[in-house]
Amino acid sequence: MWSDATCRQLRTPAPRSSRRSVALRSSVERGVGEPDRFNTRVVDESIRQMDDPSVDVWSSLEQLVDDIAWDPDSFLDVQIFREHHNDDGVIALVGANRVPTLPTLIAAKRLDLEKLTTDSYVPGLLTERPALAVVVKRDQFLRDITNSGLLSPVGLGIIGAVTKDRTRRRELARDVQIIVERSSTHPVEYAIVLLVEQDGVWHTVRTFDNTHAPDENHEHRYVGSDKQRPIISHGPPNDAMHAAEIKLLTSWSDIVRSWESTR
Amino acid sequence: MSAIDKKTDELFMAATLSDDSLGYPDDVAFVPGDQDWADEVVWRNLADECRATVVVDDETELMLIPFPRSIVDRLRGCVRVRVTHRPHGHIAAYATSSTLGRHPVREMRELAHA
Repeated sequence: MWSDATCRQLRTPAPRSSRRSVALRSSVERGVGEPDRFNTRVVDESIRQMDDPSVDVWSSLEQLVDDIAWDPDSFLDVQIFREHHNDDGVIALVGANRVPTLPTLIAAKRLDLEKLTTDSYVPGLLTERPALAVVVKRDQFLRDITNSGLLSPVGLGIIGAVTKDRTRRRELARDVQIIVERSSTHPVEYAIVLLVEQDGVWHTVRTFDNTHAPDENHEHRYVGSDKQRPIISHGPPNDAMHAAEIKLLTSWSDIVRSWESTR
Repeated sequence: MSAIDKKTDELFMAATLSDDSLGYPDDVAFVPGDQDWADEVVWRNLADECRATVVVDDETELMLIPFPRSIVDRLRGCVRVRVTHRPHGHIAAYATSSTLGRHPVREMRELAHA
């Protein structure tokens, strides 16, 4: 899931000019399906565009974007994603400022994490900026996020914090696997992903998670690499995880076949 | 679906749904040992991704925890592992060490029957 290329991108030190460029960000035009999206065309955007209330947040790294980015009801969310496997404390943070009444069709824009990568920048109040993306050291981030009052003004909660500390994989075939990430503490936070390798690249085919709330379970289909809107159900996380795993273990080949037909 | 496949599913689900770690490391992969692709996938997990892997067989499970590969290991095309037997899902009180090549499942079987 976290390819070497991905890790390299996250570690790439940002040019000094980009340390102030979180507001003056660049984005990559949405070009789904390609594995190396960092190489897609970079388009500069202006502050005026950022002030557009319909700004969506998208990451060049598909794994870094969670349901919040698709949720039109979200006003302001902070996403913190787990560090990559080398455990050097680097995490990626994607923040999004959203208004309650977004049009159904959202013009998605991508934040170019490579452009915005820095090992020290922590955003101020997210209410001051429509969208932010940074990569920070985890320890420093956790220290600064409490000092900065990032969470207090609108009663934000940290969603998707670094709590999924347990990973279990089931190899289903040479090129198909299920990955379950879950927290070891309650409330259980989980993400279950069905991955398929094609041409040396792992593709996400189906995901299940409870990122929004412990009892709100989402299932996402994929059309190519496009994450679809979730099918939402409510219930205890363990029941949802059990159902999701049974579904994947018993019908993964049908799911993969169906996904392949959409590519 | 083979009996080993089913058993692998059961172990995997127990490991994911339990609040307890059940003795597994934080990141572990479950591989049914009777599949023709098992050697390739286990090797990828151990050598390329340095990830603990549970190879499931009909009577026992072998948990292989790899050590980071040295240059010598790479030149030799092998990976050193700590091997823990988990008979019927229970953790054994001891571990042994072994050096495995590109066919780890086959090699572990040969060792078991030696």
